[in-house]
Amino acid sequence: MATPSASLTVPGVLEAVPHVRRWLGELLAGWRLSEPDAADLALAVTEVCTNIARHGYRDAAGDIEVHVARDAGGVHVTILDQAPPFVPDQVSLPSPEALAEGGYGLALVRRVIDEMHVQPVAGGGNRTVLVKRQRAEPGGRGGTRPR
Amino acid sequence: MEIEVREEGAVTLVQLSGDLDATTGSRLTEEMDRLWTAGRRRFVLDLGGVPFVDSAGLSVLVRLFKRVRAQTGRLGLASMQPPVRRVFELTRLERSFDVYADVAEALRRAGS
Repeated sequence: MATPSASLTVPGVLEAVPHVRRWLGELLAGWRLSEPDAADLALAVTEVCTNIARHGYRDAAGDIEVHVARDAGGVHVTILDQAPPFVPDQVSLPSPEALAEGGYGLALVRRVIDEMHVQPVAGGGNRTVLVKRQRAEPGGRGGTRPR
Repeated sequence: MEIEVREEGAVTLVQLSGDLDATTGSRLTEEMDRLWTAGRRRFVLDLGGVPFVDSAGLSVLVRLFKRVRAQTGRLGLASMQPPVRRVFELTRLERSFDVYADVAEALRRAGS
């Protein structure tokens, strides 16, 4: 069976992010991904795209390309931008007692996603790769292929 | 995001419908500012119609909660859907907020 995949390109602005999220949700529902895994991916992709629009492009114009593929190992999302190099350094969530008003975004991504890599692209921009691994189903039927 | 406001005695019930994210959070902030200016201090946010919240939406809720708490008001969050509850659990903010399973319980506690 061929590996299912799909791509979407949107302007790198905040208003486009909900569109990406809805597109991803419909795609993953069609691939019959579990709702919790789809919700985790929706959150992670939203955070990355919001970060690109808000901090990467700021007032500059540019696109966000989202490529999604699924294989027996899980779902792989690649997000491409042409923004200045981005180095993620946020790994820990703020203390809940501190009631911090920010600093949750990328730390949340790292908790809902199994792998996150950000690399600069030759010629400018960044490639962000998110991997959500297929979890074993109860009864040992893990690693199922997309149906 | 759609916002409906209803007075339930001393408590203001704010019912939200739609995603709470970087594009919609300002609408909630504006509505809560309006209610705050009108003198309302006890709130229940009904999140039953909110299927998604991201870090930007979370930040809006934290700001609201801090303001209400500083003025000895009340802000209860009710009827979280699973994806929203997961964000609160991951950030452990469910320990700091007043989180209720349903609106009726949240209204009771906010009004007491």
